[in-house]
Amino acid sequence: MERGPIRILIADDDPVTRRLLLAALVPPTYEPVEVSDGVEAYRALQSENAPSLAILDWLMPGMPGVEICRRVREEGGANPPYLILLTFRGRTADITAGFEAGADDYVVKPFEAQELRARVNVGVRIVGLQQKLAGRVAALEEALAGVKTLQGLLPICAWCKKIRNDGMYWQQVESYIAEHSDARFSHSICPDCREKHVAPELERLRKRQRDA
Amino acid sequence: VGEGGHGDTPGSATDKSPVDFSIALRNAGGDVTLLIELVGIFLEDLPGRVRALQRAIRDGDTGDVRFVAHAIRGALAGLGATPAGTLAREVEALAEEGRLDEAAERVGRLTPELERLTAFLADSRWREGLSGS
Repeated sequence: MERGPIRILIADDDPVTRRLLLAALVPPTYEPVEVSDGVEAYRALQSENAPSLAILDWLMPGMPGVEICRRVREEGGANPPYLILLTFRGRTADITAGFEAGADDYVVKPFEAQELRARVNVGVRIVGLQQKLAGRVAALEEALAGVKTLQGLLPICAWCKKIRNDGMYWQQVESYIAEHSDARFSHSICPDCREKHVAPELERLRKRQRDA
Repeated sequence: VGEGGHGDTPGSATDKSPVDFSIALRNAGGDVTLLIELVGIFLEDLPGRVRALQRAIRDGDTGDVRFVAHAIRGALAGLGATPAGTLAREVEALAEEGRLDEAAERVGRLTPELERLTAFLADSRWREGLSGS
């Protein structure tokens, strides 16, 4: 889970726009990483410690932001970044094209810091949920891999109730179940068995004592 | 100069002033210090951009014309420099459509407008009006 400052990639070839973005996303809440062309932005998103959120100018030398969105989405990946396109293009057709390319949101230039932060924070929330979900799935997969299954047809001895395990070994029913599930046993004696086995044995011992 | 903007920016900017400081300050979150810094960044960056734009026009490279015009436009939008911004937008749009001659003609109008803007911003007196805002 992403704690501490939120790393955000800022990609725009205009230094005035970059400065405005930096001014809107100040530490300690945010940790902006700036680049000034599309290829650098794309590389940053592919790097090992890639920011999970990026603000990309729609049109940049090297690679336009919209193309970065397309590529990042094509590549998939376990933790896809949240991508915000920065654009002058406020027309519905352009916005739709941005979303179809894989952008999660867009901000129209010139932007106001408050709106930008609000949109970034939506991204932060989504990325957080995504990471949480990915963490849960990973934990679940791990648990599933280690889970002991108790299912199918079990060959059991009709007389002593031992179970033949996968290794063709006849095993006590409780040890078999303990191995194949999270169940544990505490041994006790039921009333029927007490009557049938324990009572006669006790009687036998008493008799032996008396005789002695 | 600056009157060829097709009037697509209703109200705010007057043709007299190259910058609408109400827009500029709003973009800077009301932070005058930040605005002064932005102007400094802009003045430093712009000459290289203008040269790149003219070179791209000369080379007939509409892709580059588009990129450079777009970057200039971004800065102008941030600074509320609407008259020049409108021209930069037109240069970008014409370059996108591959209409190099018209883009060149528009660059011919954008350049003096940018000169007017830089002359205005290079004179620190523009700051005087901001102190009370």
